[in-house]
Amino acid sequence: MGSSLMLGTWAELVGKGTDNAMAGLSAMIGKDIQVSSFGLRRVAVTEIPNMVGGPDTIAVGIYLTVSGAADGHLMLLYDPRIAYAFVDLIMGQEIGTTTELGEMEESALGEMGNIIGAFFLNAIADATGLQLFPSPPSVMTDMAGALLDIVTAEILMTQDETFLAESTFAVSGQEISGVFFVMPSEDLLAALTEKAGQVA
Amino acid sequence: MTTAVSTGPTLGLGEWHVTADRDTTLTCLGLGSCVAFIAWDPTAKVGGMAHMVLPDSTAGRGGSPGKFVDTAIPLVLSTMQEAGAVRSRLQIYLVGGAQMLAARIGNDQMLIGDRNARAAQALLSDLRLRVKAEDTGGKHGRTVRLFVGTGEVQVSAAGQPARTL
Repeated sequence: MGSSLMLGTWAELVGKGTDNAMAGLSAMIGKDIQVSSFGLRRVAVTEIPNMVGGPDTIAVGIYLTVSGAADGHLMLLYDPRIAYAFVDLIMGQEIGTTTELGEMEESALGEMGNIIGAFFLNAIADATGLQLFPSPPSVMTDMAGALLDIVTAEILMTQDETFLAESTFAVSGQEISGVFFVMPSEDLLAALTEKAGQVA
Repeated sequence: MTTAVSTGPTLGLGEWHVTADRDTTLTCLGLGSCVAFIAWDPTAKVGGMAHMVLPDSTAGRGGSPGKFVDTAIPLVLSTMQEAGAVRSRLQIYLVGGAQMLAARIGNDQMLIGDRNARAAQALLSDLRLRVKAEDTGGKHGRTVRLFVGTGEVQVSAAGQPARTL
């Protein structure tokens, strides 16, 4: 793995998926969302925890696995204050209302994970013909490094580097941004590249 | 948080370190399913730590030995002995190995934390090395520090004060 062709293909697919995921999120909260930056990098897996403010930074993670034609991981990681703001947007409350995550708030973020996961995978399915299904989301608050272990341990089993997609987005009129990590397993990447190659 | 001032390396995924510098603090931040192996010789004041990610080096496609329980622990032990530590004096600790996902989704891969902890326990037992204390399992992340000068091992969870093992 690791050819520039593969990076280009994967970047295009993740870009489409991210756009569609943000469209879904926008519909869910009834506000415009601008994707302000989108980047795809090849990174050492061991570097990933350093990209989210350090491994012991407290974060809220929304995690889904992908199954079907291939396996993979989707993880959204937010500073807790950003996650609280999302809860307020989803529940139609003034930003700042939510100050901690109870069952109701975690459920709201799980629903957000459902929407983002489904819209993201639908866009990839449309582009490639692959059937990919998101699992129910897990919502967790803990040290970012500990949350990322869920993903990184499995990747490190077979490879030391991975493609990491990061997108930063903003909800219009609100000071909100976040990062959306998509880490493909090797078999997902291979399946997508093969399919995308056939389509292109 | 802690009053501890870290003056030593922070070990990322798959990294390990051995030192005889008494002013050094060895740290693993944000351990989830990963397990930290910690050893300290109170006489030689030699400390070692490994941030281990996976239980078994033979199951995957290899990579750096610090990544795997079965290769990292022997590596740290032999390096400590070269630095003057004596096996029979070692105080050994295991920290981490949480199951971060509450729901079991996917395959038994998700039980990696438990597998890491059990692999480390089994290997140490085979090596006839006693674990002095451990803080493993559960569903929460941990940060651990070894103060090489004193041998104190501090563990903290998210939003909680550090405690000494």
